[in-house]
Amino acid sequence: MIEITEEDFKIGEMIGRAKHPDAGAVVTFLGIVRDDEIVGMEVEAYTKLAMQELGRIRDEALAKFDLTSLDVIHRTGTLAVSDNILLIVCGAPHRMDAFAACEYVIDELKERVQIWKKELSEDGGRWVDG
Amino acid sequence: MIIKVKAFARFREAFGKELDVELGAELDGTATVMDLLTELCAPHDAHDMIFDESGLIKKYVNILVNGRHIQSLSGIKTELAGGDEVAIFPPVAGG
Repeated sequence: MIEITEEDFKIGEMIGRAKHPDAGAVVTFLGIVRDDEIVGMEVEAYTKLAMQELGRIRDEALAKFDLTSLDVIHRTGTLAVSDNILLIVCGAPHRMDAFAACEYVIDELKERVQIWKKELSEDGGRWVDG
Repeated sequence: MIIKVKAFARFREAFGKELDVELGAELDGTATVMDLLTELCAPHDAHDMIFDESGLIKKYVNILVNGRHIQSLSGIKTELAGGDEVAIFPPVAGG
């Protein structure tokens, strides 16, 4: 599943969905808003292109690694400190593929997917450099 | 002709999220990305956001025409047709 949404996600449900008879490992990456002396974060996406690029990254990961599932949810909108931003869930027969796929997806996402973040502070805000 | 522009992040704050830009007939029926940017920047005093001192598009400015980066087309000389969708955004920073 690939999704870009303003809604928060249920991590337990996403992990449960990755359980598969052939899976021996589920590795997750959860990105959350860090308090870098900010009050929150604004996340913006060019949804049409971002979904296409996420789909390509997912397909690449499924080709490169032995996986049973790969799900990615990225939130948009205004988020508070400690709110969830991103969840990647990789299921695989063995842990090494699950770890490697999870790292591959987050690295590629940061480089390629049309999403931007603005750190909100008492003084205004600052767009995070890509 | 009307070009549909979508701007993101700091460019959205400068230009607005979605806008229609009309390119005039004085362009002999053809218009390029350069024509669009000139038209777009003028009322927003945003020339320095897009162009460097040499008049070239800054490296961090991404411009897509109908989903394709202008680097894979003809750069700022890429020709536009009425109804084309042009997106402008800085380097991505998700995750």
